[in-house]
Amino acid sequence: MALGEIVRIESQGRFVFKASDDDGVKPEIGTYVRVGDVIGLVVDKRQSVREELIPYIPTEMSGKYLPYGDDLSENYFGVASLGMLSGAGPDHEAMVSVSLKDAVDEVGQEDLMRFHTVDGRFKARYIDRLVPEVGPTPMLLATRRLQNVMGDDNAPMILAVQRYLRGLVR
Amino acid sequence: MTVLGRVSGNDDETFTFVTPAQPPAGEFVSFPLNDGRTCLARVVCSTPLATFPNEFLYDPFLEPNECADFIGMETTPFKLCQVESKVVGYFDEAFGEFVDPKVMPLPGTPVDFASDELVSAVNKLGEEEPGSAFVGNVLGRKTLVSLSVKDMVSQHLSVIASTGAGKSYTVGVLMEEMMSDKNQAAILVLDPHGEYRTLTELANHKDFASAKYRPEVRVWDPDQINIRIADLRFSDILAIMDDGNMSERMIYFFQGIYREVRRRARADGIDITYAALREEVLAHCDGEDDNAKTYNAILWRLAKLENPIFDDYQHMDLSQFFRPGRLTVLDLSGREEFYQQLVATVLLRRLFEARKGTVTGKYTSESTGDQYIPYPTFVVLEEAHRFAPQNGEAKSKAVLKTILAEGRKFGIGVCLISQRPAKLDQDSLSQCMTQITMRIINPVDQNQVSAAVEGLGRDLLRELPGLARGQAVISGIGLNTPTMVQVRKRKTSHGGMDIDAPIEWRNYSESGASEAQEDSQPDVSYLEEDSKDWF
Repeated sequence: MALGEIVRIESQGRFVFKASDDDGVKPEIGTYVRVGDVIGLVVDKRQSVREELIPYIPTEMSGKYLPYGDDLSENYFGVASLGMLSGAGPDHEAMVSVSLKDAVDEVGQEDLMRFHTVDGRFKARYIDRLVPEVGPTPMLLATRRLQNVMGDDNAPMILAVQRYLRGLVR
Repeated sequence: MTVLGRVSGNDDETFTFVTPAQPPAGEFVSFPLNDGRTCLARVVCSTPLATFPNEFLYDPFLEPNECADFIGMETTPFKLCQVESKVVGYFDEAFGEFVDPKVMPLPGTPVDFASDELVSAVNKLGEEEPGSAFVGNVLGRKTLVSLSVKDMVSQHLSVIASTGAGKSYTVGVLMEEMMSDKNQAAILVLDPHGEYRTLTELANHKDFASAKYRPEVRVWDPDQINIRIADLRFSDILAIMDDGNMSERMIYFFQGIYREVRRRARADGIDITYAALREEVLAHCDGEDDNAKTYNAILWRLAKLENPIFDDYQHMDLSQFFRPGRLTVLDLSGREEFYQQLVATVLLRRLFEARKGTVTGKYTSESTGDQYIPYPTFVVLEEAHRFAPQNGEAKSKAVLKTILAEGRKFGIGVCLISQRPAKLDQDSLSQCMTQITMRIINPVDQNQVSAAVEGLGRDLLRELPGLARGQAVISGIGLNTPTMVQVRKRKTSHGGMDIDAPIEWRNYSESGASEAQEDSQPDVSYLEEDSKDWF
């Protein structure tokens, strides 16, 4: 399901996409997205300027200070790249560039499972790498989505990881 | 060369290294010095390099390593240990001891388990060499540990442990070694519990007897131990008489009596006796005046010298007690503590005077009496806190402290054994320059040991509560460095074993003795008949 397109590339592993204008479902933090073979995670919602300053920006200056100023609702989503999912299988450490205007889709359940299955076992090896960078909350929200695809066998492990991430939030 | 781990850092006293192994505290490791020598170090403690988040441990059925791997956490640090170690030094052949290299290993320096050859340098002597006492092996290793008997005897020994940790067993091992052909010691054991009697097996044990030598063990039963009145000083007699109610007047009068009797005895060239003292007091008892009443009160108290332990003529003959190749056990069990102290006081005082007189030439082989002792002696004091208590007075404390301070000059070694170091005089304990410390759980006792035993570092002190029976930390001058030791098996029987109550109860019941005892109960049926009227 198409969610939007990339409007800004911040670094090798971080980009921003703008949600489609239609009234479709908007992604939430913790949503898994894909741009071609690249799998990413929505880690924040944002605007280009601090929300409290927006009323003070003159209309004629909004083109300069509000690149996304025509839409003040939270339609811009920061994404952290998690790795790649290609025909060869998942790779949680690969860093592949994405391009502006690339379409951003939500990852389906089947691909979500494939991306997290390494050597027959469930893995989300990007969590420890990304927690210092994006904080524990997006990761915690992501694990809630993983619960649905991980199955009962892995439930105790995901519970332990959620407890751990909750501890970091505190 | 194998590598156990690599140095990660250091401070003033210790260095740390990282290793996949988990060497136990007290284990010896080594690292190379820049000049090519190998430096010995002792493990203080091992801690994991990293710990799992607590949340991974809440579910006992969940493998925390899998959780860590699931989120991409590096799991290698969980499998590594950071080991804190203390530098002992490199072994200097010329000095025969470990020398502090004054440098710490740099980060990255390889560390390995110390070779058995290097660890065996903790010994000053080989286990078969004359003057050595083979006590066991380095804990967790086959390296044998032998104490220097010369150092133990000249600068005293302490054996400290909680009850049941193996004190008397370890002392038994030491006695075996000291009485062997290679040492042929002259030892006296003051045994308040009668648990060293089994050492008599030494005399006929094949491992100790040879064509040229056979150790001799003599056990003196409590009723064979006498104190001659003449060996008591005025203060000793006063301590026996005074139950806390002797007035100044009575003490003054008795002092006069004592001086007079002693003066007469010296003039006649004889020993002071109880009979003479009693006769002199009696001579003042006639009359109705106050003085006569006081003398009567003294007479009544003087009667305490009628205790069978005192004798006018028989005494403890030093030459019978001390002789190379002879172990004398004084079984003091059943004696009141006061009399045990008195026996120790008289014996140690006479021994000190005898050895001092012999060394200074006052007594020679031509001298009459038992005061010529031309060889060093070793006195073992079991329950040493009775003889030199930290608080309170004991008659034996002063002479014991004198021997501990000056005995080195005159060849009197003392072994203090105690299960309550907190109750043992700290000065006395600190004079023992070789220390065998076994399991101690009581923190007060641990602190006392820490304060009194210089060589026992804080790291080894921490290990004391965890030591198993028969394991000991040996420190001080008897070895080149403090070492954790597994005490060897005794060759003679152990006399201080715990009583197995359930077995003894069952044996008693099965022997039929129980019924026999029932049958021998007095017939009290008539009481039951009478008691009918009471209700």
